[in-house]
Amino acid sequence: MTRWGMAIDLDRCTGCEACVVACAAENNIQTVGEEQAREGRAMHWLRIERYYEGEFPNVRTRFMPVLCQQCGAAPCEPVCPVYATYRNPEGLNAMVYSRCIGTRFCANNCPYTVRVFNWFDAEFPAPLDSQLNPDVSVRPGGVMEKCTFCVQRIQAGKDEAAQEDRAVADGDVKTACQQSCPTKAIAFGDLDDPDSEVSRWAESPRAFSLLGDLDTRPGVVYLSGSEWREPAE
Amino acid sequence: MTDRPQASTKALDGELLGRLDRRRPGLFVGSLASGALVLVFLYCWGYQIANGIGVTGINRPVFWGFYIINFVFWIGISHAGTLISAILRVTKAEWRRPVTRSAEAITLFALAIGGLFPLIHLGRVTIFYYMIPYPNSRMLWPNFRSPLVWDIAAITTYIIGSALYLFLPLIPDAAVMRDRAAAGLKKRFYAVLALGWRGTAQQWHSLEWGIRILAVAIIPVAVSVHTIVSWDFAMTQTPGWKSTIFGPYFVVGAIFSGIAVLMIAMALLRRGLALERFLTDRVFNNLGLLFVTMSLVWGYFTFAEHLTVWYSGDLFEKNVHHVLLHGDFAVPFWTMIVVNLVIPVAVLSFARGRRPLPTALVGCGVLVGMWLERFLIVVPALSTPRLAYSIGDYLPSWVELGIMIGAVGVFACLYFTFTQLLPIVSVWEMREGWRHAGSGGESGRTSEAAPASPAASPAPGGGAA
Amino acid sequence: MSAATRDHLVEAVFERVEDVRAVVEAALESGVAASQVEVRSPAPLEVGELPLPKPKSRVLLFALAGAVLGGLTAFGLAAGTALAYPLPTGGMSIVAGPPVGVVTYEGTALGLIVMTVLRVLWEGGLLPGRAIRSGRGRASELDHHVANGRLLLRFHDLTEKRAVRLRDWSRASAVEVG
Repeated sequence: MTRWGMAIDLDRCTGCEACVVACAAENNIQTVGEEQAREGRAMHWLRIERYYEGEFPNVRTRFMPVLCQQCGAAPCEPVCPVYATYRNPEGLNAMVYSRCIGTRFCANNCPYTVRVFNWFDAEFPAPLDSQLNPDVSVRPGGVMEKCTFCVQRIQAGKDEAAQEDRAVADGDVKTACQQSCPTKAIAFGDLDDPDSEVSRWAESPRAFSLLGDLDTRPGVVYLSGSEWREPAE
Repeated sequence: MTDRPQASTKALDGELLGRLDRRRPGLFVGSLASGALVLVFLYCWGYQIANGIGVTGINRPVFWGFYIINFVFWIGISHAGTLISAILRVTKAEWRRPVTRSAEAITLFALAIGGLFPLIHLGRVTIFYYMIPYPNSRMLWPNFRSPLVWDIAAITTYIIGSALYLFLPLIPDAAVMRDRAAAGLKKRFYAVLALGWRGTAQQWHSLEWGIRILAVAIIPVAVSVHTIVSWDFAMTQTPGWKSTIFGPYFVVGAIFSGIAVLMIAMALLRRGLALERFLTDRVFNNLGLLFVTMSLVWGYFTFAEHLTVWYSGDLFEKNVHHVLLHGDFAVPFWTMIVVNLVIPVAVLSFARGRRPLPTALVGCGVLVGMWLERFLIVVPALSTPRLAYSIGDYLPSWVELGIMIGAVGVFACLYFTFTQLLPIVSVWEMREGWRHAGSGGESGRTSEAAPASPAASPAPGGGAA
Repeated sequence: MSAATRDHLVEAVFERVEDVRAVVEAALESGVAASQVEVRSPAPLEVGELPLPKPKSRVLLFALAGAVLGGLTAFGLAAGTALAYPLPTGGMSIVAGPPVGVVTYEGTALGLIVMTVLRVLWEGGLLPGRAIRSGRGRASELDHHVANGRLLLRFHDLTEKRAVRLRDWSRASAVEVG
C-alpha cells in the first residue's frame, strides 16, 4: 500500500518562497488582499517560518517550510463532527470540502496551525480566473482547507500509470512545491517503498519530525544538520 | 418560613393570587425594550449569514472567538435553574418553593440561547443539520468521536429535560390560571397548557412521582452537559486547554454563574413584583451561602489549574500561562480573580451581605468575571500556538458584539414574557409548603367560608331536583 | 327518570380537609363506594389524609423502561452506525469506547426523562388523545374554587335519592347537584 510522504531538507532551504507561490497557483488558493492578511487571514497552505538566532549584527535566519504534516494520528480528524476530514487509505489526511460546515474545531486542534479557513467566498477577478487549475475545486466561503499533498497530481500520476499498465514509480508524482524548489530541498513519494527518494531521506540521521513528542506520526519529515531548536517566544 | 405562615396562610394565598391578576406595565415595557435588542440580534446574524463568517474578528490562529465564549457562558448560566432547583428538591429544602420556577425558566431560556451560539459560529450555518444523525440521501453521518457531537447529544437531552422539568410542575399552575381567567383567548391559552388538569388524587400522585424522578435524573444530565462543553476544549492537544480538571472546573463555574443570574433575577422579581413575602430574606441568605461556597470552590479549582501548569514547566503550557498572568491578558485575568473571588468572599461571608441588593450586585460582578473566565480560556490558548510563528491576536467585530448584546435581549424578552404569562412563583408548591408548615392546628378558615346554603342547579345530562 | 338510575353527581366545595374527610367518611359508611368519590385539591394531599385508597402509579417502572430503551437506542446509534460508516480518524478505533459511552449516557437520560413525563401525563389523563370528556375528571363549574385554594369533593354515579341525601349532609360552601 502506498503511504505518501514528504521530506524537506532544511539545510538546503533558502527561504525563497517559490514553493509558496507554486502552491497557491496549483491549488487555486484565494488571494485575500493586504487588509485581510493583516488580520491573520492569509490562506497559504504552505508557509516559510522564519526564526532568528543570535544578537544583531551576528544574526542568523533559519527557514522552515511548514505545511500540513498529514499526520498518521491526526488530532484534527476525530474532532470534526461531520467527517469532513479523515485518514484516507494512502496516508493522506483528506479534506472533504462539501461536507465541511465550518466549526473550525480541526484548526484549533492542529498543533502545527496549518489549517486555513475561507472567511469569505473566494473571488478571482479577471484575469486571475483564467489561471485557475481545472483539476482543483474552488472552495466556497465557510469551509476549512489545507495542504492536500497535491492530491490531484497524485490522481493524475496514478491514472497515467494505470493507462500504461504499470505501478506508480518513484518520481511519477511531483508536488507543486517540490517541482518549484530551486535547491531541490523537497522530496515526495511513497514512504512504504524503502527505495524511494523520500524513504532514503527519511532514514537520514539528520531526519526529525516537527513536534515529534506529540506522536502525531507526521507524513512530513524534516532534515537538519544543526540542532533544530523550537523557539520559545 | 419567617412569616409565621400558620397565622396568615389564607392571606398569603390571596396575596399570591392577587399578584397573578395584577397588570404589570413594567414587564410589558421590559418586553418591548428587550424586543428591540432581539432585532439587533437578528440583524447582525442575518448580516453575517449574508456576507460570510469573515465579518467577525476571528482569524488564524484564533479560530474561536466571542461566539464560543458566549456559548459556554450561556450554557453555564443555564445551570442556575434546573440543577439548583433539582438539588433543592431532592434534599427537600423547604425554602426552595418560591425559587424553583424562576430558576427553571432561567435554565430553559439560557439554554435556548446557548444552543444557538454554536450555530451562529458555524462557517456554513445553512447546512448545520449535517451534524444530526438521520438517514439521508447524501450518505452523510456524524462522527461520534467528535466532542461536538457529544455536545449535541448532551444539549438536546438537557434542553428537552429542562423544558419538561419546567413544564411538569407548571401544569397545575396553568390550571389555576385557566380556572381563574374569564372565558376567551386567555382561558383557551391556559387550557392548552393545563392539558385538562383537575387536581385529582391520581394526577397529584403521578405528578409527584414524575417530579421526583426528573429531579434526580436531571442532576447527572446537568453535570454531564457542562463537562462535555469543557471537553470541547479539554479533548484537544492545545496548550492551555488540555487539562483533566476542566470537566469539574466548568461544572463549578457554571453553577457559580448560574447562581449569580438567579440572585439578580430574584432581587429584580422581589422588587418589581413586590414578592417580599415569598422571596424572603431567608431565601436570599441561603442562596448567598451557596453562592459564596461556589466562589470558594471556583477559586480552589482556578488555583489548582494554574498551579499544575506553572509547576510542570512544560514549555508550551507555560507560554499560555505567561500571557495570562503577566502578559497581554493579565488585566482581565486579575479582574476576574477580584470579582469572582475577592469581592464575593468579602461581601457574602457576612449575614448583612447576604441580602437582596448586595447579593445582586455581587452577582453582576460574578457574571462579568465568569464571562472573562471563558474569554481567558478560549482566546489566550488559541493566540499562543506551539509554533511561535503563528502567534496571533483577536479583537471582536461589531457583528460579534451586536449578537452578544442581542442575545441578552433575547433572554430578557423571553423571561419578561414568561413572567407576564405564568406564575413566576409556583402557586401549588407554595400552598403545599403552607400546608406542611400549618398542618395540625390549622386555622385558615374565615367567616367567608362558612357553610353556605346548597345551591342546586341542573347539569346537562343529569335528571336532578 | 327512574330513581335507581346512577347518573347523578354531587359536587361540594370545602375550605378544610377535615370537613372533606368527615363527609367522605359518612358517605362511605352510608354505602357510597370509594370509586364514586373524587377529591380535587389545590395542592397534593398527604397519604391517609382522606379515607380513600391510595392512587397507584407506575411512573418509576416506565422511567426505568425509558432509560433502557434510550440507552440501547443511543448505543446502537453511536456504535452501530460507526461500524456501518467506517471512516478512520485520528488513529482511533472505529468503535471507540469513550465516545459510545458518552452518547449512551445521554440517550439513557433522555429516554428516562421523556418516558417519565409521558407516563405522568398518561396516568393523569392529560395526553391529547386521552382527554377526559365525561364523568370523572371532567371539567366542573366549580373548578375555580380549587384554583382559589379550596377543595372540591365530587360524588359520581349516584342514584337520585342518594344524591339528595349527600347534598343535605355535605354542608359545604357551595354545592351543585346534577
